[in-house]
Amino acid sequence: MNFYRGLATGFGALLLVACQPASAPNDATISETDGESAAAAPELSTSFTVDVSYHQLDNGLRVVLSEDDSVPTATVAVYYGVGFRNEPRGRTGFAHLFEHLMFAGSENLPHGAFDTLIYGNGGVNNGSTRYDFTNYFEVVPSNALNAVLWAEADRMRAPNLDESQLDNQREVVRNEVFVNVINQPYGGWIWIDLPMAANENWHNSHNFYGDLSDLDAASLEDAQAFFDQFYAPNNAVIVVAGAIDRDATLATIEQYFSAIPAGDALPAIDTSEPRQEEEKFAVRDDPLANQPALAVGYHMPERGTPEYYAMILIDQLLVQGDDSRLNQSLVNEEGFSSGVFGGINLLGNAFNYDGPMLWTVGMIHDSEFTVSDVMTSLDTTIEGVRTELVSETDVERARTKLLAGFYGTVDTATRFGLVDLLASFAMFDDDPSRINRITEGFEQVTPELIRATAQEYLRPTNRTVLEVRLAVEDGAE
Amino acid sequence: MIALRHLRIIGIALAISLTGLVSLAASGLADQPGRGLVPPAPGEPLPFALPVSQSLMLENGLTVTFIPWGLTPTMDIVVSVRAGNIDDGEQTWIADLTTAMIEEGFAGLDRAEIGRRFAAMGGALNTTVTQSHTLIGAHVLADHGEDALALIANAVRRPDFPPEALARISAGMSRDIELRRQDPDSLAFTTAFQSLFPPDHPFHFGLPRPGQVDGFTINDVRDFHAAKFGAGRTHLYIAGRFDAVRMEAAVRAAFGDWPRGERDNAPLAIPARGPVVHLVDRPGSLQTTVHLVYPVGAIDSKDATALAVMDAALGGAIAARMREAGWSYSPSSFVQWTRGGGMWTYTDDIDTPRTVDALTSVFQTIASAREQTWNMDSTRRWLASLFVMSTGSTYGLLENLALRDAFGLDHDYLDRRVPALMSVTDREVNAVAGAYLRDDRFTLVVVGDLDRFESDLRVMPSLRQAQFTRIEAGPGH
Repeated sequence: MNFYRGLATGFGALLLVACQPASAPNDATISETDGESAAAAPELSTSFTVDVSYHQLDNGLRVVLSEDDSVPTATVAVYYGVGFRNEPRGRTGFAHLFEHLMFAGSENLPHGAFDTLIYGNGGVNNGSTRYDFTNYFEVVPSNALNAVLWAEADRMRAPNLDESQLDNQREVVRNEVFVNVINQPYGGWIWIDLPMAANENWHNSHNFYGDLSDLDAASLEDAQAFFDQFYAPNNAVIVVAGAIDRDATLATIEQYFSAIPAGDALPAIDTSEPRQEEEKFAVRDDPLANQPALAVGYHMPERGTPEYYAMILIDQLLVQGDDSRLNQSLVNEEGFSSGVFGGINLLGNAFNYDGPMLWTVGMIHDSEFTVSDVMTSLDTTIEGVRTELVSETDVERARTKLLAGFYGTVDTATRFGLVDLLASFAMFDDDPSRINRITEGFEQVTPELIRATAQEYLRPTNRTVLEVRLAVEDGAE
Repeated sequence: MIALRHLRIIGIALAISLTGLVSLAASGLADQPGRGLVPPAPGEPLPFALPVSQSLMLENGLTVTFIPWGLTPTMDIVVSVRAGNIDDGEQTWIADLTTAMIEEGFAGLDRAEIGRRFAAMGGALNTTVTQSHTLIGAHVLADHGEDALALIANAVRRPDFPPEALARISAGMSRDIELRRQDPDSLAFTTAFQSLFPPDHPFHFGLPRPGQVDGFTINDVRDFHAAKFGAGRTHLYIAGRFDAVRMEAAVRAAFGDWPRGERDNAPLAIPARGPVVHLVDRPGSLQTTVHLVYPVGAIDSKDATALAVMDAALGGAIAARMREAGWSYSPSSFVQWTRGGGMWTYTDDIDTPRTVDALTSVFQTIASAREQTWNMDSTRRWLASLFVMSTGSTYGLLENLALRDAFGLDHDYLDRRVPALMSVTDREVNAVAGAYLRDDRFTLVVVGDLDRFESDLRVMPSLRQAQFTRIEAGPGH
């Protein structure tokens, strides 16, 4: 019995409070029909363009506006250019902890009032921390847009950072880590343990959920310093999408945000990874797991290069979808597992990061198969891409899957996927209109480039293999 | 896909809590003394109308709903068959196995070819088995709607059930079952449902016994499909950008001659009243997993809309308290409807040492909802807005229609949803809380390290009427 994306779960794409999982029997047949034929006016269009306008305030805040009147809601997203990679040594997990603090109130909105404002106006909000950004986003009825902009400006200018909130959020984060990592079988194996093992540079290789002792050590002074350094308008992008008036929205943003002073230039950090020359291995003993698991991570080509686009297509060829080669070989033919999963940037997508990244493949596999069994089959499949030219048909199918996936990202009820891409292209490329040229880089990819990219980046010496062992098997191999 | 579920979770800060929601009306932001600035008041709401959809029934009883609406040039096609786990009988998860075997081949195409064909259209064959329905569909580029429909029809009508695939599929499913057997949330869910419904009831859900799925034969699968799949038990949804005339012709060609099949005999499912407490021991657990369930009225009862409002307000109040205290990270509540009944459920993972404090607080909040009339202004507005948002994507709109159809609700149920929510009175919410959320009605499942809190929990005043059972978690559960 599956509980994911159930057709009858009501608000499937939305947040799940108050959802109505109507997985119930019924004997109803529709008694009311609207006639003998579906006489709706045909509307068949295969064109799609995102409305984009891009501005910058004098204090450096970048503003992206995108009008779409299909539903009378507006989505606001504020992205700050600070993520896991920026957090200070000895303060692992701090970027995420600080994200929680940003919900603890601001000068004109005491603790709880921000959420009250959003929900009271019929909206939802959220935030998340990733490698290269921390984001805060809301979706509200369009008539409440100005209140949201006002609230975001208030906490960009003056969040309430106090000891009691820090203590409280530390506990919330501790429980979050318990739920997602420590108290879960496989918790964090592929998205924390693997990058920690694969990367050499501390900025990429520390535990970004945080060692609990580091979380305990975090002080109010740390929080203020972190805010002062990173949460300035010149290190932020605001995106507003939906049923909005662009000119009026821009004027409102100028009114609320333009007086917030720019911060100092950010200190440069070197996040580069050395070229990996030897295959690496890591083991996680998992007392809660009851099946072994295996994850393999390869260092990606640099973002924006021709090889990067080729690697995105290789990801589609090898691991995305039922037709992918690793699904065919490891699942359908060998039966090692009921599913192989993976991708580029498992905490986001191929576009919303800016630094070293892994392409990852993972599976929980049957204990009757050894790591060697799985790796032999995986190597055979990957060697096929490294040594033989893939067909034009295969490349075209990969592009088609990408395009459909892009549409799926953009066409969500909250517009979170849309604003994430707009913010990422603004923040990392200074060009949010890239969203309308998203296929450009892929059109240049040839079978030859795919083979050459695979030769370099799918080398065994460019990868890290993480094995999840059951507690009883500890040291058995 | 446990790991992928985790991937979505990291960084979610305070989103799904309705923190402060209940206190909104009382706090009145604009009236805060000593505050110089208040957020701008909302403007006039923009108009909202549900996109038009049309339904018709073929002569064989198959209902089809056309939803010609979509932001992007894509289509969602979903076949919803009234065949789910409530139809398993003694063969637990035969519905899941049948659907998994459909993916292995149909109309002479093998799994690999099926994968390639859907991928070339930008999609994949998506299947889900819920308690009551099997869903088979795809999300494809709009150009390929007719071809995708024909393929999906073949999947539903003409599975090959290749015998050679059975052992592999069964093994994979057994592996997933064993993973789930370790999952405290799954343990709590099955314990609750086995308490709420008697052993011979289709809703007395449990996991298959070890080895049970491996014992199913290809004839078992064929028999299930033959008995439970048919036009008269099927609703087809076609949403997105398409030419309605051509799609209707395609539907008639693909499904017009499908036999009606066995009559749907889905049972009433009215959960039992408690009070009962099931304690499930999970030694060493860092968190206590809790499912608290109260039987409530059905979705077609006069109480249903008030129950939805009650759920949002009460869930929000509980979540606010949990977060404020730092006792848990993921409190959640929802109403699940069944045919003839419903359940309001609160679930959580609570820091083990705070189990009794947290549960005491939950029961106090519930008592408050029973005994006092809360101001629901913001909750009504929030739910109405959430509903509007949920219609803002093609698939979200489709899901809403499917919810309506799954329970045979009025054709204009969704059109009336916003006014229905807005017209629920505070007293009606108080009345349903008083009627349903009584201390003599609940089923509480507590999965955790019982040694650390059992004695205190057993003397909680709210549980004094309840019967206690104690279960040692083990592989056979």
